[in-house]
Amino acid sequence: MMPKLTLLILQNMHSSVTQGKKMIFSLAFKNILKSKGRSVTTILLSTITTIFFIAYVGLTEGSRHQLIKNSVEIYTGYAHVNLKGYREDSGYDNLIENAGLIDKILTKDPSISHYAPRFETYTLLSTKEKSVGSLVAGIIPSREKSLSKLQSSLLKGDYLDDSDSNAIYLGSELAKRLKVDVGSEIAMVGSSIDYSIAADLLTVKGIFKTGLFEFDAQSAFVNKSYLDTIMLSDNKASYFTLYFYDNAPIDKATKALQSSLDAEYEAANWKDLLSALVQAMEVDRIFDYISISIFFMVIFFVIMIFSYVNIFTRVREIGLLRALGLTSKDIFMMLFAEILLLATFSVLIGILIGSSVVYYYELHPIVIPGIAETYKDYGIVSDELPMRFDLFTIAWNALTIFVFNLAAIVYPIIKINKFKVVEAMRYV
Amino acid sequence: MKWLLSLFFIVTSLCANEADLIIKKLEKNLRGDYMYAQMKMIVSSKRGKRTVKIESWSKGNKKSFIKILYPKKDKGITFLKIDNQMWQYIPKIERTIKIPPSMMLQSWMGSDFTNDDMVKESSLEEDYRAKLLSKKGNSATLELIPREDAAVVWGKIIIDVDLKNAVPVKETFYDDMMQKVRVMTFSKVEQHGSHIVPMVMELKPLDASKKKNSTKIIFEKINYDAKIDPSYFTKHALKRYSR
Amino acid sequence: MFEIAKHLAWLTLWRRKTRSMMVIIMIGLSLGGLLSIQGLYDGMVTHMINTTIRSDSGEISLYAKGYRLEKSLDHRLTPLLHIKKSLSCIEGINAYAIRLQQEGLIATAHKSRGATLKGISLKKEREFGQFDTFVTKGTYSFGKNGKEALIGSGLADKLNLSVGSRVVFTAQDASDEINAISFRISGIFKTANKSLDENAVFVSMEKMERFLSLRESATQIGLRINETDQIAKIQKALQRSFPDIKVLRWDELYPLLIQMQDIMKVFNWVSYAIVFTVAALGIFGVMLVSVLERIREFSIMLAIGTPYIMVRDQIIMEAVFLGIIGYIAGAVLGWLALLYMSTAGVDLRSFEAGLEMYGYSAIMYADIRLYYFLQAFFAVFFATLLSVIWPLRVLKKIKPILIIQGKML
Repeated sequence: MMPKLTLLILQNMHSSVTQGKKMIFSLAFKNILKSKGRSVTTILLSTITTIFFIAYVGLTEGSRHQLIKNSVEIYTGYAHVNLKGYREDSGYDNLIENAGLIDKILTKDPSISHYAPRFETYTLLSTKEKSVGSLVAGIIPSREKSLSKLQSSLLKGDYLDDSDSNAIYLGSELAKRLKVDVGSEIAMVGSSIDYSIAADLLTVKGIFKTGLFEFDAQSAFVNKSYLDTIMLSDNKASYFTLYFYDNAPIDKATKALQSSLDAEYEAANWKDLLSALVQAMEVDRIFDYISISIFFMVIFFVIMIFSYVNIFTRVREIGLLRALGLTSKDIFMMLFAEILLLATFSVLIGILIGSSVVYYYELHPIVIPGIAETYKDYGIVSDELPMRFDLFTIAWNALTIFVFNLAAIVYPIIKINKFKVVEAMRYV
Repeated sequence: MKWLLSLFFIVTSLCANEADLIIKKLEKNLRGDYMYAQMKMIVSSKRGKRTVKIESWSKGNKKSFIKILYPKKDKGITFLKIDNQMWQYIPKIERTIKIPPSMMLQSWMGSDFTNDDMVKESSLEEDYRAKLLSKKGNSATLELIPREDAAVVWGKIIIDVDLKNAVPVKETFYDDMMQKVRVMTFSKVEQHGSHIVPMVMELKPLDASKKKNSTKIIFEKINYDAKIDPSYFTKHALKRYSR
Repeated sequence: MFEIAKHLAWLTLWRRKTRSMMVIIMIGLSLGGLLSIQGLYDGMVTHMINTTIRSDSGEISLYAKGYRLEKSLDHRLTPLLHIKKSLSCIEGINAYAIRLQQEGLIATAHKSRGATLKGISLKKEREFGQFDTFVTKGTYSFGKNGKEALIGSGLADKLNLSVGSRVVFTAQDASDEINAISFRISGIFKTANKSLDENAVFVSMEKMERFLSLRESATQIGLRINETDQIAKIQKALQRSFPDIKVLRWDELYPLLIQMQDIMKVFNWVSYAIVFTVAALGIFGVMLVSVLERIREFSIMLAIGTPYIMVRDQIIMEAVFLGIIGYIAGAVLGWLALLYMSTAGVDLRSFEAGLEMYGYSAIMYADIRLYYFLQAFFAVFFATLLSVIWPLRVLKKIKPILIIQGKML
């Protein structure tokens, strides 16, 4: 008998609680619709903030991403396979001795989209007037088209092709230093891998300009199969450069690749290869976040004040509700529900608009003519400023604003709940 | 006390003098005014062994002319060194190239010697101040500290000398932090004309990554007494004597 | 009458302590924060410009024609007597420094790197840009015998050098002959000017001249001009006297620095727009609510005959008070923060490597300029005025009787 009664009471309580919950929620909803001015302003505030935040992060991440992408895609590539120790000592002692073997492994790997061997050596390039030490790399021209920007940076003359011999493709600054032009003759003197003298006369077939000043001043390229005859480096390579189908999860991809290689080889990705750049980007990112924190602090206060003011205009109304029997907790839930609805709505709209803006500017970047020239020392190569569309970043950006909204209301609500009912109703 | 000090000074100056004398004798013995030589250079590295046959003509230590005889690929390559300048001629492309400063520290012909080593071949007497560290019978150990203005990278060189023949036995090169960098050993001492010289020289770098590397020079023929045609020490010689 | 309005306004504000405080805190914090960031960023850029001018170019640099395209000794300034005379005569030139440099290879027993050897006069460089303050290790000297050298910190790191280390420098002299000299390091400097820190070695002019077999020559002459408005004038005058020499201002030599200054200006404007918005919104919100709350109050006042102007002035003054107090709070906060950052500096040494890639030094000092505070004042002032427009409109629309009757809420 007792249990049945208890059960009945419990059921009743439960339904009234749920009824209560529903009631509070509908109250909140009605409140929002009722005070259109207030609601619209709140929504506007949150939405604009969200859009701004998303766009700002999109722009700054975009420019950083662009910088790295340029540095990686101009020549370095997303990952290398080389002999362990090559990166510390890039002499002939650490070459890949059997390039064919590595080639087989890379061909079979389903995650790799493009790859090619490169042979790099330091030689003397000399004209009748000047001799300059420079890096000369033997590449496979056709495959490099999808692995680097050498062909697309062509400035004058022609890019190399797979059947070339005695043709050299120079960086524009290097050409300036040597005072050569397309068609000029350059003597190349270096050492083959058995340390005998490697020398030949080359004709400048083309000159390129990537915009990366240091690269353009110290690099020259020739066809690998030709260079192999001079350097005796047939079936040998300094390293293999490669792109994955998906270069985004680069650490995972390189790890996977490493497991398919023998212990003497290593797979290194651009984060290792361009570590100084990576660190600089981190610093840049931190600066951006510091700047935007100030902005956030401001927004936080603005939202807080708005909420405060909003709530305080309703003191009497709330007093009345309390007199009718709603508890402090109910009031808190109601106000919280209001802000929850408003915040969710505005953040969602903010995400929609913000993402669209970022997405659009990723595909059609802002162009500021002239910045490439001025910032060339920092590795900026193009005048474009693309934004970067990244769902994860957008999501946490929006979430931050959302949380801000909610946090901002806590203080005002606490304050208001301190009022005694009668006091509230008589509030002036 | 004063007496002890003056004795000390006399002894050290005598030692200094003696060290200088030793070095002088060493240089005179090794260099001579003119020298013609044929030698074999064996370079060992991780990649294996490579042998180069070389012919050289030199006047003092300021001028020298070198011609590569073997392997066939490098045959006819010539080098001319005058004071601090070095030129190279490569018959395959018929070009004479002057070695720029940036290439000075690149290895010479793939060996453990750099272009700079070839150019400097420093006169120990000129560039270093010698001090006698120890002397026992026919051997002595000297410490050479570079003079203030000498353009050498070494912090010091320790030389073990065979006093009887006035030839070095071992030269240890130290960097500026006094860490050993490389060691050159000399052996197979023979008499040629008025000079007694080591016929075998071996240079070993002490760097951990270069464990397998060494360069060995074996003199096959040395002639100190014949006068050398001065035309060998001109830029024309590079091409002319290349064939 | 205005006095009454003011008095009422002040009292009203403090009737709602929390609310008023919140606005004041909001304006104060955001203003303070923005002032700090502005000062810091300004400081960074000014520092960079200042460093470049002090350590290298001066306000104006003189080069031989063609030198900047091809750094060969064939393009050098010689003879110097004429130029030196001119420089001493022109008013406005506070100091000048003569440099003779050549690129070559610097080497130890283990490593070698490309580097530039510069012949300078220690005394002149100290007058020129207090170069002695850049020396971080060792001494600002060429050693007891004048034969030692000062080396950039980046270069020293790459070659593992410390004070007392010995290096050899090889380069081609004026007749294209390869020459080599050795010297010990007497000091290491850090200018935050990348081209110097990573590349340069300073020796005495005498040693350089001997090395290159040159006399009375220079590859660059830098001039210090303290009065900014004199710079262009002096440049023109010099160019006229020496038509064969290139006379260039620092902003022509380093357009990047001007760009950074421009970016700072934009940043400035954006910051003030933000402060303006914040102040306006904050005051607006509070004022609107407080006016709405007191509608019955105001209606009664108007009904009993209070001049509309007085009520209006009261409201305006409330806003003004909020604005002023907020401004003062922000200005004081900002000033304290800037004071700290301009003396003790902001230590970001853990990010040193990344910062140096951008040419910033690891400890940054903020600038404090009067115009920061003036700009802020105007921003807050106008924000205040703007923010009361709407509340005043509400006031205007009041029909006292209807309100008292409760019919126009």
